[in-house]
Amino acid sequence: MSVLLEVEGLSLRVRRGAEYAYLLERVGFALEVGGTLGVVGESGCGKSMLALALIGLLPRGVAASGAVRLDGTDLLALPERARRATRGRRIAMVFQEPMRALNPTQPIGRQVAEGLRAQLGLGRAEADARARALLDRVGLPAGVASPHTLPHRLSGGQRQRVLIAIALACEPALLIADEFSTALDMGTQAQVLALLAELVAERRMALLMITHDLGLLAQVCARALVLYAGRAVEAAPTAALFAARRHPYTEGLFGCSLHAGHTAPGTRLPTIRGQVPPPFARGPGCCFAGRCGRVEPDCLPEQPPLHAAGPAHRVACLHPVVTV
Amino acid sequence: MSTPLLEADGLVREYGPGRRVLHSVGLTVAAGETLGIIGGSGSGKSSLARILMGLQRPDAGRVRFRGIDLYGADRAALRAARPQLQAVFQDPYGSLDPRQRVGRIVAEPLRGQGLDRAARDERVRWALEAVSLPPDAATRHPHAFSGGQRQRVAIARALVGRPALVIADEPVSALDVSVQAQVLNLMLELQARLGLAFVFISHDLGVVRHMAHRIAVLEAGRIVEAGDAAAVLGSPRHPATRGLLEALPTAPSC
Amino acid sequence: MRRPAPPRHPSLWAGTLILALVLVPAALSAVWTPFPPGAIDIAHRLLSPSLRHVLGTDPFGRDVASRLMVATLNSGLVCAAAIALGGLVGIPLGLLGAAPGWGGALVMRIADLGLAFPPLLTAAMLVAAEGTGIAAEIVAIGAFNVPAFMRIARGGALSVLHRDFIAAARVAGRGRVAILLEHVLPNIGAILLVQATLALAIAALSEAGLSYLGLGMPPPLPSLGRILADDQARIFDAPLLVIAPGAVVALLVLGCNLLGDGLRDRLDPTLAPVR
Repeated sequence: MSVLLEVEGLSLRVRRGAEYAYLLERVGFALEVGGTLGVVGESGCGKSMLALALIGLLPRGVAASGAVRLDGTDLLALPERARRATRGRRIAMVFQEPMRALNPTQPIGRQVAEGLRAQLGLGRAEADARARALLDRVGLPAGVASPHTLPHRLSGGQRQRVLIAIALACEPALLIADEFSTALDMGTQAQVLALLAELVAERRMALLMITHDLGLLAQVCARALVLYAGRAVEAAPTAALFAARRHPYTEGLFGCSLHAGHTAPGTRLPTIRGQVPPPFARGPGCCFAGRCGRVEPDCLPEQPPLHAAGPAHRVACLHPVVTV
Repeated sequence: MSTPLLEADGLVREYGPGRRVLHSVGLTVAAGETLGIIGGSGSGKSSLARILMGLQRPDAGRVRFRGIDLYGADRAALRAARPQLQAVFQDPYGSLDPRQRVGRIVAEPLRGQGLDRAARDERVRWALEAVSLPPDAATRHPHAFSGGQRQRVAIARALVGRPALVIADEPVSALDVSVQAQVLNLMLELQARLGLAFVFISHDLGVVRHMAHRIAVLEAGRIVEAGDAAAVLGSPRHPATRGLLEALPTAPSC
Repeated sequence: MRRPAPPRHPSLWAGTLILALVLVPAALSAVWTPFPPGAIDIAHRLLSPSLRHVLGTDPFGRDVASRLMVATLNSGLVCAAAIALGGLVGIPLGLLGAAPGWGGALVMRIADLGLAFPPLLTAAMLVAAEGTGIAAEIVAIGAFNVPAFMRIARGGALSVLHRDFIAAARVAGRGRVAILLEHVLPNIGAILLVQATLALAIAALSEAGLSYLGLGMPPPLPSLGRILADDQARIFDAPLLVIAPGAVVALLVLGCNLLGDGLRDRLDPTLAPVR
């Protein structure tokens, strides 16, 4: 399969006074055409920053280095004008909060058509017709919501569907979903996710999903990337990860998840002690050492590199979990 | 069990004519137990939470806590009972006043209870310790804490008046899984130690399943199924419950 | 949640600097002026600026710089008192206006009525009704600040009141007044401070206008508007007599506006206009 997105040595650096810190440190992965990748980790691990770096909407003061190649073109090297042309057209993004991501004063049809007109240069009539077809496709046919409906008339799930329609409008090659649907209740969440998965498969789009919910990861993504404190600590096919975690952090995450584990009700849940070290307080060694139950003296002097731990399974740990 | 701790019946809430979000909801909570209320968005669970907390007078129906009507005329009895009925909210960033220090936030339920400063400080220290926060947390502002720690502060505030019942409205849905597990453990531990009762309201069936002794399923403003947690989840009878169970993401079998 | 590097606030600094330029000499005049501000010396009338008289002398031979210092202090004190009055009356009324029900609505409709009158006209009407004097002038300028403070306080209170910590305080059994004083007021303090600074600019302009029209503080107290009015005929032969007090008023207004904008950016980034 041909590679669509190739991220290599991506680092995001911020400065405070004379100090530097990394929000992301030499993160690399590849995503093929039509592939699905889930990025998991706690908040503060750099998941959302990764999404913003890919789409080119990093906040001021964050400097990116490394390479983000889409179809072989390094996006980080492109000038802003060229970058803007890829946004929406080649890479689209759906956001977490459907309430904030929609303009409350514009009818939904116009919001879907906006990208079509701006990026594809379609005329008003044609864009409107396409918008209507898209709303139909995402499960908002004329009977449910007309293109003239304003967002506040819709439920959370329906708004999320509008966001999907907007993201799909220009048929992007890569769709990024950041904590998508976590604001919804589970029934609606399942429906919207099913729709998303279906559309991704139907249009051969690649999907990069950022989530802290391992249940969603299992449902939607073929591969998983575990980020911890700005570093990639484990990468594997989702099924392999569910069968055997190698990094103690991944193991910890699975342990405390109520959706991935099988904990008896009312019993004490396993937890990971402590919290993610903030960017300016990360030492030279393994970033998880301070919270890890398997830490050894050799974890401290330097960062363990990613190494192979199985077919297509890589882990950055000197003392990985071994399951027999 | 003689009289239940909390008893609600015939609760109705409507936003104008024809927009009824709760239709005659009734429930009871006994001392020391957890009642889980599960419902999707638009099921009316937020409205129910506010009514049970004593924040929003229902359009019809009654809520009695230890036999005292929360919206009744006996204000003195209610004021005396108030510290024993507490709440924890979803958003740990919104539920703590950013301008106040943690010590003052936690002490709030004790204000107007006729305690002197020293006694209040002592109780605040106890509450912070109960939620495993260092005693010096009292002197800091909420922004110095992470989401999970803030939720601990909110729980300490709920504990400080030695409550019998805590209404928790989505207390962990804004938290990371690892932190979520810590907060759930804390709640279970406090329940075992202090004999607390919880009303645990959530959209997340996995969390409710873990916490609740009894479960009520709220759907479009009505309780459509209620009973023992194992029974409701083991052999669900209402389609809404079955739908929720099906939507629960599960790990692929290994 | 990570924040980007804090933005700089040039207007905050510019505003502080400009106000300091005007207000420090004004404050100094309470204890020291180069010459007694009222000392008439006809022999040295209408002198050009020199090292001795930095801004020259007026038609009565009084030192212009000294008079300006005192006048700025007088005007500034009147404005500050007027803003304090506006805040003290307007903020509680605004909080009252945030209460649900018809009472709050009524209070706010009255405020709207107050805002419908042009400020200077309101002030002039009040002075006409009460007669001139410092107290009358303070009331006059303070009065049109009341509705502005009411609106700001009410808007802020409404946005604070729907937050969860208010619900938590109610669950904790706190009463309405306690919640308003302990939770709402501290959380709207920043926007009220910004409002006060911006209102000070308008107050400075109004004070100058009123005393120019002879409706302000009574003679012999020097005030910026009065100096302007007294010496305006000299604009061609001794332009500095008119330009100097005018410049002080302009700097006061500019400084207050810059400071207010800067404070707003600094204290509450969500209120700043999108750039």
